[in-house]
Amino acid sequence: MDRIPAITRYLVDAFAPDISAAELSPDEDLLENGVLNSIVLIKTLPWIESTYAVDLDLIEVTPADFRTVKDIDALIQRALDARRNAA
Amino acid sequence: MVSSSHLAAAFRELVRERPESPALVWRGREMSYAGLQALVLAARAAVDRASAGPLCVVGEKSPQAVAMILACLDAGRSFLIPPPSIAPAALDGLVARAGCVDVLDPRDIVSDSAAAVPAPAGHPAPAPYDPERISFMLTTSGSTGLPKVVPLTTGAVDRFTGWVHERFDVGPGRTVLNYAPLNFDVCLLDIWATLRSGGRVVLVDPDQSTRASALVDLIASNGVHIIQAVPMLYELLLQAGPGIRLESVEHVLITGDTIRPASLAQLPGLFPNARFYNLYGCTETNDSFLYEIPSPAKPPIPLPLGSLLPGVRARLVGEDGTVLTDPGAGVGELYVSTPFQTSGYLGADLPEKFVPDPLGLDQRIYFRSGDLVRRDTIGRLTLVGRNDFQVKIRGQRVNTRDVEQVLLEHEHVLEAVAIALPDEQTGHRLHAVVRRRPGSRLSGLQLRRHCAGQLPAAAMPARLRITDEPLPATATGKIDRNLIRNAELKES
Repeated sequence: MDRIPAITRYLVDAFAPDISAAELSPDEDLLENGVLNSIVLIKTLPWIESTYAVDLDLIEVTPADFRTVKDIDALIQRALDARRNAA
Repeated sequence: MVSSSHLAAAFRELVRERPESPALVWRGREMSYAGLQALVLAARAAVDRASAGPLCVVGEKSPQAVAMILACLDAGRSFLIPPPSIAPAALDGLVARAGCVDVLDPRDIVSDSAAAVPAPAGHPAPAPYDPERISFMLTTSGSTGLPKVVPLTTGAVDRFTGWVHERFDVGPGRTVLNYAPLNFDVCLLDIWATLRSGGRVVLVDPDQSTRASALVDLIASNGVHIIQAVPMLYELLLQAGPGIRLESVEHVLITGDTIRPASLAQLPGLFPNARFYNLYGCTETNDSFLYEIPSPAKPPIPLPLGSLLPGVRARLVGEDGTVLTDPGAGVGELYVSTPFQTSGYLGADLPEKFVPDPLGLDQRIYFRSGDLVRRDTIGRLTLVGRNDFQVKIRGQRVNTRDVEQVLLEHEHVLEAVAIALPDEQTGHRLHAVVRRRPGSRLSGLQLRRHCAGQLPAAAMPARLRITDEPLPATATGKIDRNLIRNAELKES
């Protein structure tokens, strides 16, 4: 399943409604465009956990995992893998 | 137990007399005073190799960074601690402003030397003590473009850290949480007063600083006694869930911003054995008022500023320049003079912020805080707001005029307004409304990239609205900020 559109949509709707989802490339550096900050981190963690039914406490998460939409996607994949391994 | 009169000497003495005492906790590992000293010696070699003159210590929080700063103190060097996420161009500007001759990266210190305790004979000599010498150079938070550099003398740092230990006991057997990044002035209380006095500092890993459950575990598993932080940390800890009790905590210090009464009321449940305080200060003067909150469940609103720290003097100056001394005198700007304050900004000429006593009673320098304060009918002082365009966002000072300036610097922007709206979680959030040049296809993303290169994260607008219409104006032709504010309030 391609999660990229859903992640992009969430970020844009929740934190940057002035940006269109089509405009935000999966490789765009979210620090360089000012979308990312500590509040965005705090709110995105529970969104990932509830949307993808994962437990982020099982893996190591750092702010670097939020640099781009692709990074967030990779983080979710790691969390899904961790869930599978734990099961 | 502070027998030595200053930080560097006190730390040396602790290494000699209590080498096995714990000094730091970092990423689940404890480091003793001797272990930290091993890093300090490695850092000292780098400091001594650097050119003569002020230094710049870059990078994120780590035991190596703490050691690098201790090495600078021991060697009697002045050192700038820039914000860790600062853009390279801004760092160059700050380095120039502070006159730094070399940039030191603590990551270059070999980290696995912690186990090896070198022979005392190998210690380079400490610099002779000079209370007037500049040690820490911090930056003012928030203000955009280039932050102002705030130099602190060793004397100012020693007077402040001495007060902290007297007031809260941060000596042997005590554990203090450090939440803020190293470049924040609040570290003088939680890191530097503690390492001077023989206590143990639990460093919050910046990577974990937004994880409520990790923070709860860190505090509980290390038996933290003292926490000092901006309201955001307490909001986060409360998010971790009901029923959590952090029983070891004795002192909870709230600083940097006003906490929501609803959150304050929940803190005694989270910290059943703690006393609660509001600590008021700024980077330029360090802390100046302390208020112990007698009943967090039913606090006086607004919270009084409380008592002056020892040696601190304060004046309240009305709009017409009169000093408001009597109870019920009303609202004025707070001027403070502290034994811990800076001698003035480096490389930025702002003499109007540092002025003689408005009452003419003493020869001290007073700092104009920019905070509006009320003297109520029983003489208590309470914070009313800012007298300019400054707001606090996530505990950091942001000037909305500076944000507008950056927006206007984009070639396709004709008009720009930045409005701060109250926000329960972050204190304030910024909304910006921008009118673009006709025919320009300026997008939110383009404008964000432009701003992110020049604004600190806290000053980035949370909402950005781009229009092709002229912004509403008042009768005198000024942008009607109130109208825009009300429109933004309705939309959010």
